[in-house]
Amino acid sequence: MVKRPLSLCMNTNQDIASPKAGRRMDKLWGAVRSWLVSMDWRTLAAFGLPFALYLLTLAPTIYNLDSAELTTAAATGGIVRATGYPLYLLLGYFWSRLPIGDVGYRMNLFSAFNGALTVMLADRILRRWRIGPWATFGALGLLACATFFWALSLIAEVYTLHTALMAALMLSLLRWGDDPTPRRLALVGFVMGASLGHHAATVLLIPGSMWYVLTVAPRKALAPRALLLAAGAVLLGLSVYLVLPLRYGGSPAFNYAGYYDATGTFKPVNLQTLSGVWWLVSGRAFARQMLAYNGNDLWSQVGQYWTYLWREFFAIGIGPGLLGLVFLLRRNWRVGGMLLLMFIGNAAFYTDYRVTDKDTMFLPTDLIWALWLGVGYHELITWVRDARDELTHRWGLRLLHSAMIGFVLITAAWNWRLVNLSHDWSARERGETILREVEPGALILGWWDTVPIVEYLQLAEGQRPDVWALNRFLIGQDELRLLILKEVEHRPVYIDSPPTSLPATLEARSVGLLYRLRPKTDLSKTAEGNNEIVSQAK
Amino acid sequence: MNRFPRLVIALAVLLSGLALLPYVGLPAAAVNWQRYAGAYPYQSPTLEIDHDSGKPGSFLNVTGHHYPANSTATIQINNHTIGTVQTDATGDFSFQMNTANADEGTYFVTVTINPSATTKFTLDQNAPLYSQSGSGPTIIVPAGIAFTRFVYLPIVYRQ
Repeated sequence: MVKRPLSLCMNTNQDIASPKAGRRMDKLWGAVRSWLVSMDWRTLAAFGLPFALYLLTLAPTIYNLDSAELTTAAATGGIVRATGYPLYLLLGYFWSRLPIGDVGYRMNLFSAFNGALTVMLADRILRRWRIGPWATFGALGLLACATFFWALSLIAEVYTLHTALMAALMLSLLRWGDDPTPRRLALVGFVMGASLGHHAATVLLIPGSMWYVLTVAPRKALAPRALLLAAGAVLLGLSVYLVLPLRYGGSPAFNYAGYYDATGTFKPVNLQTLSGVWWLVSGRAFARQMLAYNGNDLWSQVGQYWTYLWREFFAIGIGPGLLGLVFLLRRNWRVGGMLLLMFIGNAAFYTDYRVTDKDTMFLPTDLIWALWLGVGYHELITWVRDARDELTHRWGLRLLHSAMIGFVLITAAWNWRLVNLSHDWSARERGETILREVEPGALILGWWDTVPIVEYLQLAEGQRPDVWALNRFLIGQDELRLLILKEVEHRPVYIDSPPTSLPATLEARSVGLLYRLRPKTDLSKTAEGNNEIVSQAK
Repeated sequence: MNRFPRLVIALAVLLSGLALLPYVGLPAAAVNWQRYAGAYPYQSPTLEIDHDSGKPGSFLNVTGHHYPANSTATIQINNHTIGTVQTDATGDFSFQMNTANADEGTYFVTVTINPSATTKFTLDQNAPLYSQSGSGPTIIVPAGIAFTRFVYLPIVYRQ
């Protein structure tokens, strides 16, 4: 007679109640228990807490501007503008197949995943430096709740994947530093190549990476075998760029690498040539925005960056962050130098970059500052803990721990109302309203807040295939004028804002969110009221 | 006793960032797509003048649009740097030109940050006199910089 646990004896299910099943259950429970015991709860929390925060505030559907462009391209096998982001397009293609929400939501979720992954990898870095859980929570909590880091984890964007790859690169470098073998250097090379395959701004991390490699073990790094393996791994990572010629070969319906001529014919950049790929990935389309400031304006931009950083870390993270920077440089000048070079590279480049949305581009510096902040917090905690008198030791530590947690909670509460997109359907509503209002066979001309969202609804959801949407970013002013003159004769033409050089023969009449362009004679024939005419060419 | 300052110093470092709070402030603007809706449509800067000719002594008003926001623009007239003007948060600005000291002739006004735009006006004794009517800073057009002669060269090119 086999004795069984009471709970199993009471179970009426014959299969479970059998002795064999009982042993199986015991075994299973034992495995679960040992898994729970051995589980890395800190890693789980480092990923799970920010991920839960991002899930609660995530945009519920497709978002506008770059998000609509990236989502449409990733999900439909399309091509985006410079710098191409082939790794994002590749991963996004598979991620957009997840059976949850609409395609827009899935790609927003991808950013949330990458944001949480960044925090988790940053935790791994801090653990390598033996930073305690209180300091880590305080520092990475502020990172996770920083206004722009949080906001960009809620919509389809390239930045959180970039910071996740950046954290992975740092980790692989530190791992190589512990044991500088050619294989570990190859891993560094692979991550670097893959990261370059995602965001060209990875080049800003190269000086810091080179500094670390050449100061830790230059001979081992420069040994022929190690160099060969690393170079091969970089090439392997870079091979993700093959996505671009492959997608180009399929003549994708969504392609932002090219321009329209005056006849409305799209002239794609040939991404099956090296010069074409280089044009895209080098970001030459944005060259005039780079290194754009000088003199007083540059100082003004520097001031604006520090204001940004101050606000990202809610003022609280600035003092301890600076302390961490100094301590890291003193304790380990190789690692400290690496981080400092990476920080300076990113901060300097984007400070001198003339675009109005550059606040969204400083996330790499947020990540580095959070690591310094973790070190700074740790030093403060250690300093107070080492106090000999019981009062300071006990109450001082409690005070510091409480403050670090409190700051994170205050930041989260403050920023929640600024970034929460969980009820924001505005982009979808805008796109659907436009498609509802335009006549059959219409041509829609618009900027980023109009056309990508329309293209998403068409290509990802199959709405209104009869409409032709054209992004004004992809056509010059003169070509646009000629195209309007040609198209207005035989199809309804709409535009989001009439160009200043609107041909004299045309008039623009407000229709919902857009303007309908018509020849003046058409208006007189239809006898529509002149009071509706809101814009008339000179 | 000497341990107590440790806690004070630690708290001072911890809270030091708050010292600049009155000057820097906390994040206040919502981060949404409407905030960046005009981010990429690059529009060339434009420069407009309210009268393209006037009698010396006139006040002429210049307005600029689509310049980089919150930046200092340099004003040049016939390649002489005359002054600067500050663009507002939307990249616009305006200023007045006092031509009381200026000679008759043609003037090219160029306003530059990194992109630049140029407009021109002519001072002529027979043109109408325009009195001060605009807003913004006033710059004085100096004497001795007018263009009075132009040489027009033919363009020859090979097809």
